[in-house]
Amino acid sequence: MKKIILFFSFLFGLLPQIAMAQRTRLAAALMDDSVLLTSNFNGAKLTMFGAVQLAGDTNTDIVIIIRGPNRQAWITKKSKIMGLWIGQKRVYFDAAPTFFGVASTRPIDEIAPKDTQSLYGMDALSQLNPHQNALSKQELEDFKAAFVNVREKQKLYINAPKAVQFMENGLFRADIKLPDLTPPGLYTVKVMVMKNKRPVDTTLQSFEVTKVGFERFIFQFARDNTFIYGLFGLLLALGAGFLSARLFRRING
Amino acid sequence: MEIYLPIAEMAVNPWLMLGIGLIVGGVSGLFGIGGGFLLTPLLILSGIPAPIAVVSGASVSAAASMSSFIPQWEKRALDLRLGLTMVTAGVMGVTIGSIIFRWLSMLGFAELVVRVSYVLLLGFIGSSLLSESIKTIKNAKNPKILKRSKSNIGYLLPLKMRFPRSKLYISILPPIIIGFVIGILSAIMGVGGGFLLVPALIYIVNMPPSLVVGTSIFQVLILASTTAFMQSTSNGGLDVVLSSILIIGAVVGAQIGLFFGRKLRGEQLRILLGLVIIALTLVLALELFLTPKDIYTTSSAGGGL
Repeated sequence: MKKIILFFSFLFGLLPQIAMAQRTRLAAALMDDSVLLTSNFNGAKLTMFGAVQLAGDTNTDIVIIIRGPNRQAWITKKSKIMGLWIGQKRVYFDAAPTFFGVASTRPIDEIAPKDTQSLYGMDALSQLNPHQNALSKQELEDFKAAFVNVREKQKLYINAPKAVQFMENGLFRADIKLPDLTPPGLYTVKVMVMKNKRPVDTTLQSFEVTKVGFERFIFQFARDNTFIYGLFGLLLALGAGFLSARLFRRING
Repeated sequence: MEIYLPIAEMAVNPWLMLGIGLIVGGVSGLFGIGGGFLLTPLLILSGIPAPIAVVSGASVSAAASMSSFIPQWEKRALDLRLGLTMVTAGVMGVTIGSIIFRWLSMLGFAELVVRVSYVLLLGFIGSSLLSESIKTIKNAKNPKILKRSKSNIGYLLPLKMRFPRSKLYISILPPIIIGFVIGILSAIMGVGGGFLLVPALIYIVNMPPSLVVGTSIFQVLILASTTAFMQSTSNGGLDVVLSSILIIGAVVGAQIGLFFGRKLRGEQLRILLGLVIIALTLVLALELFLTPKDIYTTSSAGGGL
């Protein structure tokens, strides 16, 4: 609560300065600058506050783009060969956002046309970089759309048309849900003020999603000491098998 | 309640994973097989990325077979000489099988070969186990025509060797070939191979039934351990948090399975195993013919896997 009050006093302090300027201006801040992946991590809520000078315009919208780190990815399509589902085609992406969230005051398609969306990186589809392949343009588009579709089902690519809400005096608040699958890394948050289908002001923020404690230790150890980690995993399995056999023999008498 | 997996980078329900471990361990202890052929598909069905599921399968098979191996070892209910012969050939088979698998993937036939051979092989083994056991039970009422047809190939081939524990004096070629073929198949199909080994030991090697489970579990233990270690170091898919949960379920399940295994007769066990294998064959065969629920599958959320 203290945090929220602090935020508001910070934002209200900005308001007169924003009002003095003749053009639309924007200020925004995230409630937290890190999300911790602990052992009971089951998703998180990202909250952002901001203020925008409306300058008499009523047709102003806020669009927030949250982007996870880029990673390599692939998508496989199963197909029928001679009546059996045994075929498969795979498309690799050199880079695809691990997370891509669009939060806005209205449905994004009402705020800006498709080409503006891809120009300003407001849709996940334009962010996918397929690896060189022999597919036709149409086929490639189908694969990209299917990839976005799968990620939307996993809640990793999200479209939240009502997640940004104006309060009063040009203040706004946004709540975005991060799913349990949220990958670690540096996330960027771009806030855009949209007027007449074009962005008139933007700010850029970032936050970090990190593994902590035991989870972080396991992850780093597995990556840095592959051989020892593999051996440890095997000994753990064999040891558990051995112990249980001993234990149950004692119970069975 | 959910628990976060550091390598898989996702949250799972630990009770569900414990339950899966219990079932797989139970099957493993009851029939003396690794259970990897059940675990890997079950994990993939519950949303675990395939590379993680495959390594977990091998790792849990190693734990479960260790747990069932100890009591067999203490009762000396295995033929170590025959087991070692087969394991040596088996490890060579795994190595060559991995090369074949890489070659098949390069040509784009891996999926086709794996799935069709699974259905054919499991269907054949399941139905022959079932029909043989039913015949045995029927014939038990009519003792005059007992004794099922067994192969005598081991007595005909050269390079004979004495296996005192099994009271066999047979050619070492059948055990070596069986071990080698199972090694190849387990590398290609990603399974321990116990479900293939049990009938092979009974019908081809003519091993005394009391030694079959112990000898087969010995082979599975070594092959699963080799596979688990090789896979976790080569693709880094081992999630110790996930496999710990699965292993706890599996080792308990294995003991429960062993307990019930002792109460059942050999034919009954074989009928049960036959039914399990036929059920799995039907599921896999249906998957070939029915339109899949998800035509598209993607890499894991964090990329890489």
